[in-house]
Amino acid sequence: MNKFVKLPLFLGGVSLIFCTTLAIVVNFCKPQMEKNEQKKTEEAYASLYEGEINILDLDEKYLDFKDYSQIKDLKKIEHEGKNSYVYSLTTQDPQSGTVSFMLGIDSEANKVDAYTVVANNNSGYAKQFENVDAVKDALVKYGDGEGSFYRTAGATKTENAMKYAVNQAFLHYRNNFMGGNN
Amino acid sequence: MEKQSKKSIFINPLIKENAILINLLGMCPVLGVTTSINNALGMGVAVILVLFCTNTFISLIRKWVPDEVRIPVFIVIIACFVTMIEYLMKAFTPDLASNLGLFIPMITVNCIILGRAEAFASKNTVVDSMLDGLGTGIGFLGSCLLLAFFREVLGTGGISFNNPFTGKQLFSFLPLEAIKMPIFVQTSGAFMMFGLILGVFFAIQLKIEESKKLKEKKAKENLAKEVK
Repeated sequence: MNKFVKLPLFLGGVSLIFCTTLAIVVNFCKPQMEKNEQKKTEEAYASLYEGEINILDLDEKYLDFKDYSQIKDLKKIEHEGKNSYVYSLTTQDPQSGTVSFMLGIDSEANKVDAYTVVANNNSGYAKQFENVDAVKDALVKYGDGEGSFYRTAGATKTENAMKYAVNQAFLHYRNNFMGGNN
Repeated sequence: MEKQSKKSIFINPLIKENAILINLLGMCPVLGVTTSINNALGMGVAVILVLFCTNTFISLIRKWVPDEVRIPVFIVIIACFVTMIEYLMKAFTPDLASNLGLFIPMITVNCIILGRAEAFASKNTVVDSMLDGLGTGIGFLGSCLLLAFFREVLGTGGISFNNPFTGKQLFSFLPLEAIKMPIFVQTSGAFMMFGLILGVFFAIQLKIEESKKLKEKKAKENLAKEVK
């Protein structure tokens, strides 16, 4: 057989065998990975608000994030008689890597009432954002619905990674839940 | 090519031909993930599994692989095994997979894996290739653990160990916490510590070689005296 036919055929055959094997392994792992993801989300909500929370219905029109690339999800929740909007955000910065976090905004007071880091694939500076209280205080201070989030306490270059994502959440919140007065 | 015994195929890559400390191959994950014993162990075990599987498989099919496409075939096999390991780690050791991050898929381009496939597995029997994969992998794991041990002790003041399957801490022993030097768990610390370890390793090697030469010289002198 001509080698221009034989070689691609051989390579194609090997790829096909290994792709099939890989598909089997992926299918085997998928349910467990979904369970892990679910557990992680539950843990994130548990660390976001103490006590019981109820997830409320939210109109589909608020879930269009095409202008907000760093917002991954939004949920309206009820906690201790108050309603809050919880944004799931993922931010990527060449210097600080990827950080996924959740930000809750109290819909009555229009200010941040909860914050937690879900995943921090960053070996360096963004570790400081795992200090929930310090960051939450800073967010409450600067992100109170008036101006946008500006800086966190103990500013370092890492804050840019978080700043863009937090600002997007505020922008979305203002445009959708505060009458678009941005 | 000189035929090696099965024992030397397994033993040599552990220290004498160690991929990291002697050949300085596959340095990226070694410097990147050795911030803790946990990460080093995870990366080491992943590399052992990939090396063992790829060496075995490549050796099995070596007679049927046309020479012109052997490198693409090796890469497909390596990438497939690495992706399998990545998915298995994400499913069953999620915290460890999250800590190792991009370094798991990067095993595909680790030159140790392709190096052993091309230099050994494609020319030797299945059993020899298995032993070579295991030996090289264990040598890699040993080097990672050695570097991680010193980095973690100096950088955090002690040793902590988490269960890779549950993420729960099994023990934490931090007697030097008061004098910890966090630079050692950062990237610059990795280079410093690796340089120090290499220095000590080479010094020991030189000493051993010198003493060997000295012994040989003495033996020759004694022989010469006896002849006289």
